[in-house]
Amino acid sequence: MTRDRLDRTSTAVPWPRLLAGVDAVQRRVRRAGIHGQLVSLVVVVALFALGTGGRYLAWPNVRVILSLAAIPTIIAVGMHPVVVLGGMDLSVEGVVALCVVFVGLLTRNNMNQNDVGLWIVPVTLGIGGAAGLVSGTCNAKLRIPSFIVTLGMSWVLWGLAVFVSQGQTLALLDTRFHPVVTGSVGGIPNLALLAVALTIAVQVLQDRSQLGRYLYAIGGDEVLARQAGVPVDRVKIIVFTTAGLLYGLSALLLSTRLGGAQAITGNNLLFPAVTAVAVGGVALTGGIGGAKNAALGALIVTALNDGLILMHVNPYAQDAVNGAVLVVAVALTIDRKKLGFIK
Amino acid sequence: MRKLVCWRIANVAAVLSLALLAAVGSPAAAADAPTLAISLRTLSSPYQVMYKTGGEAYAKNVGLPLDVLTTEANSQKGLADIKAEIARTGGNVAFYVDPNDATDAIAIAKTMDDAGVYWASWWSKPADVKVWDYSHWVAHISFDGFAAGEFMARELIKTFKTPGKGNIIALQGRLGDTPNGERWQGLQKVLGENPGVKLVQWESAKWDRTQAYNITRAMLVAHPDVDGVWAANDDMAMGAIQALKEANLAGKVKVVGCDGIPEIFDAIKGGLAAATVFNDGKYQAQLCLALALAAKQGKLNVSSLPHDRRQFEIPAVNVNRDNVEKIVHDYIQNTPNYDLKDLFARWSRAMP
Amino acid sequence: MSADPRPAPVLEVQGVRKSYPGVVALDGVDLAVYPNEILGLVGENGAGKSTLMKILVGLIQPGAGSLLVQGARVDLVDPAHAIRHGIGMVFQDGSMVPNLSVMENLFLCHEGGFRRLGLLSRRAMRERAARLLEEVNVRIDVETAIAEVSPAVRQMVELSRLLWLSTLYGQANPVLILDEPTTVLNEAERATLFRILGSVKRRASIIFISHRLQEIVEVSDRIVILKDGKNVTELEAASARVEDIEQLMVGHAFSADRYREEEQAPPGPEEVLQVEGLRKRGAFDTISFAVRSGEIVALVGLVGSGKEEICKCIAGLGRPDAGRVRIAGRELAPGSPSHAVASGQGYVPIDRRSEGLALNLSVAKNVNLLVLERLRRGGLVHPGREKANASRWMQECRIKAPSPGTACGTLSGGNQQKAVMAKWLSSDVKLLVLDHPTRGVDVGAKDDIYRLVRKLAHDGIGMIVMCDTLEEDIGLSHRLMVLKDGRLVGEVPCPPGKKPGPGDVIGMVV
Repeated sequence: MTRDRLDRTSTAVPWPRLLAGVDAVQRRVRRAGIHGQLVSLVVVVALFALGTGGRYLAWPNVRVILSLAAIPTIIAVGMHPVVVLGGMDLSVEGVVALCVVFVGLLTRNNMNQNDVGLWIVPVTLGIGGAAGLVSGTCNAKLRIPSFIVTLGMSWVLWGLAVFVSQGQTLALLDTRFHPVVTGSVGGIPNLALLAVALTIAVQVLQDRSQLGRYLYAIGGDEVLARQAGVPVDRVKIIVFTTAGLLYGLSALLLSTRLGGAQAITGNNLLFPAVTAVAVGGVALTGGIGGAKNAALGALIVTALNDGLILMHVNPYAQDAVNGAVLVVAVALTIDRKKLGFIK
Repeated sequence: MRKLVCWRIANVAAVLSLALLAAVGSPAAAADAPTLAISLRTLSSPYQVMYKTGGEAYAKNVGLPLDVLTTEANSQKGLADIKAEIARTGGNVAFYVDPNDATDAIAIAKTMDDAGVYWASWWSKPADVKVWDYSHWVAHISFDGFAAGEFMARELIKTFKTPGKGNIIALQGRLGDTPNGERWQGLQKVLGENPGVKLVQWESAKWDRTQAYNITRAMLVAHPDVDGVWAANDDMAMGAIQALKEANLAGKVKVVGCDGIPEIFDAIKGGLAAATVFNDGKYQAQLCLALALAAKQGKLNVSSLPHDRRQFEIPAVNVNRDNVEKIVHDYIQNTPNYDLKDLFARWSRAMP
Repeated sequence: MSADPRPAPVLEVQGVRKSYPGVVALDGVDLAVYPNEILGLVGENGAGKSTLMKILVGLIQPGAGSLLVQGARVDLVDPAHAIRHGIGMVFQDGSMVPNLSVMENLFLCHEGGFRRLGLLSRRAMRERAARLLEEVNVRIDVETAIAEVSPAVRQMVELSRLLWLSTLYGQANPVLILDEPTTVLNEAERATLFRILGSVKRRASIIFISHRLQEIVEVSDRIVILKDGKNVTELEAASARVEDIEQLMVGHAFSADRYREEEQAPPGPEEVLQVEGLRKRGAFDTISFAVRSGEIVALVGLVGSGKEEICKCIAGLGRPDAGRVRIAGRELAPGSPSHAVASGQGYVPIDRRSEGLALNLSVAKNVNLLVLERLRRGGLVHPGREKANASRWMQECRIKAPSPGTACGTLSGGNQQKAVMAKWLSSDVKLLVLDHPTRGVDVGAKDDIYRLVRKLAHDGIGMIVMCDTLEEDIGLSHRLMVLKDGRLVGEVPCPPGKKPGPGDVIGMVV
């Protein structure tokens, strides 16, 4: 059909090159494995743009979407390598709960005299990373399934957070973080820029480093990878630890944004993160999908929920929509051959 | 041979000391003094922590031990824990329960009747279940949710630039919870009386601060010219305030909540929130424990109580800019010495 | 004393022993591999080939004995260690990670050389990969995922990786083991492989394992025969004959009547299978034929002749566009395997591991699968009866397994195939389709399977077979049906004692 058009019009020189360029971009996108996700995003945006008379695409709303998608993106980028390995990380809520509580107790607050200031950054990363380290070690060395280890870890840390905080809410009084978290550069929210930077960094590591190779080898076939000499245990531990690090970071960002630290700040973070990872095209069976997938997935989920609110969709139905999206996303991405019989 | 004898003595000593520890460790099983127990949802809620604080003060006053059980939002766990506590104390216990779900009340009531344990409850029970059908269910009490919702709405409307005219957005809690429904009805009544006030959109933020923040930011994009935010509890109100701050509307657009957590008082003082309804969790715990204990000790004849004393409502404390300082002083910074001589002193109306 | 003209061996196996509880796998094996040679390794299943190979690549440790590489003793702890000494194996099931690309698999765990500024250079890897694959005659986009590449190419990639790793570790003459490489190849690919091996020989030694003795004779320089865990003979390939090798493998001469022709009895009168006007577009044209009770009909033809599709339609695994299939007079519902089985149709698939057996279930459970109703007592399957039935058929079919409760996945290929056939034998099957029944089965077990085929015919079961070789087709069947390009071009009777030779038939096939 393209050829037809070219034949009928007297071809000006740029056309073939332009089309070839478009073709190359398409091939690259397809190979990058985000083709489906970009199409979904466009469809979602188009639907809501039409449904809200264009208000969905107005800058104030786009800003809100970017801002609200940032933290789920960071969490999804942290979680998805565990899924690529073929496992699952359910610990985000517990890790965030504990880190948030420590943020509350250690920075300037309304309950005690502590004021560690900027040191809270390494502290929260450290707590999150330590939790991930323990989860990873139990999974790799003790061969406890990741599903169980991280679920248990979540409950343990959650209980610890409630105990340490005594159920109190601590108001965060250190004003240095707030403008960083809520500010923007050139109109784009800082958090969104941070999320994008992290996504790019992780994606580059996945594509171009030996560790990245090992990650996908283990996800593809752990037995064969081990046979080929991949240091499987070490890779697993690193992956879980990085996940914990990113959860710790999101704890700091989340509590700063809310101005208060409570143990329950971590609630309701797991489901959107898992949905984001699945929608983004990271197969739950492992071996497929990278940071860009996780980030796109988080963006799609946030854009979807924002659209539902903007279109006044019945709040009773919103949960159902989210649930359906998750099931469909998983159905489309899992490799049934790997699972043999679907349980 | 000596080694063997020494070993045997050590064994016996260990067993004896363990037995002694066990005996000492569970006084309730042997002694006559009853145990007080509270079943609440979670200690991560500052509001529910007040149950514990109030309960501890009461327990200290009457010189009895107190156990606090948490359901962690899991009804099965809640029931299992209650049964375990009854077993542990041999039934020598009096309970205050804030059921996780309205329907849990039925199972709990049956368990308590079977075990002969007196208890009193707050907040959630199914409307068609009647307290007087159960012999050991002393009372079910609630704060007047309708009155709360009404007060909150009225205070919010008072803050509009144009009196009696404006748009509001609302954040509901978990849609199935009884207090949520009651407060919502209160809001609806006030909306009906004020045709100039429009509820342009509402969402459910499930009592959660982060959800409230996220949803409010989205709703503010849809309705940038809103005049007030009605939130069914204080946690959600705080989340809404943060969202308003980022939209540079904090202080200009006021928020109302319910529960009376410390932060909301600061917010009212600071002009970010208009009002809240202080649910005195400490009083709740003390009143219910006192009711259950009185029934257990024979001081209160449950079967002779009229129906309207078995399920009723009492008013909460309405808080706005005018009285916030006093409330904080009397109720938060201190625990008042509640007068529990007349258990029905604050009775306001029967539960419908 | 004359000087030994041969150079020193690059790999030596001395007195290696390996036992497992109850079974001696290797009983003192001595073996030498010389530089630049192709060594053919043959032996029945259970002779110890796979155990020996696993020891050579470090997957398992020998119980006694030693390995010498370039004259020095080595203890290989794992395959990564083995490849550092220049010993590597191309596994039958493949050892490449499916979701990684060709190039990523090629360099897995050894990408250090491609690091530029801390990150891996894709371009450098691409170029190198393309060059390495050129040497084994493969030209593909090296960024394709391994899962999408044909088995033939996959094997070449594995071979290439082994060669590359040996160069990386400075091993001048690596020893590369190829385990049944031709199983997944067609004729053309096989020829290519042999050609490549010829050129690889110039810088490596190859141990070539295969059940197809003709290939072994064709491609090897020397042949080693393992029997009962010992190296019984070494032959120069140039002077070896297939019959001699067979004899040495099983320890007794094969009857000239390899296919048990004397047991081939004339078929009964009734027709168990009637195919009328069957047609499928793009696969085969209208065909009609019948198979009688006790008759064995062989479908012969090249790939693309339509024989596989016809069998699939008969088995209900595919839908024809037109026509009817009748089993013992009962018409089959098209596209319904369950209806086919219920009507008395059986199918012994080419891939028994994934289609014929439930590998993690026991022999008994597999064998009894179709007759569970008969084994019931009081509504539930009776374990005693189950065991009795299974034991009986195991004995009849000579299935060698420690017990009826052994999982099928642990049996040898031949025994697995016998289990599949026992399953059908014990049921009320009337027509059985056998798809390459002796593929991957060693010589001893082949004979058992031919025995079973004759027994099935004797019991009145009609059969359609498609065999690995024309010779087997002719030897087993009552008649051949030759297919070409989707059409039936001829029928050749194969009466016992007067069987045509493959040369007589091949003209019709191609």
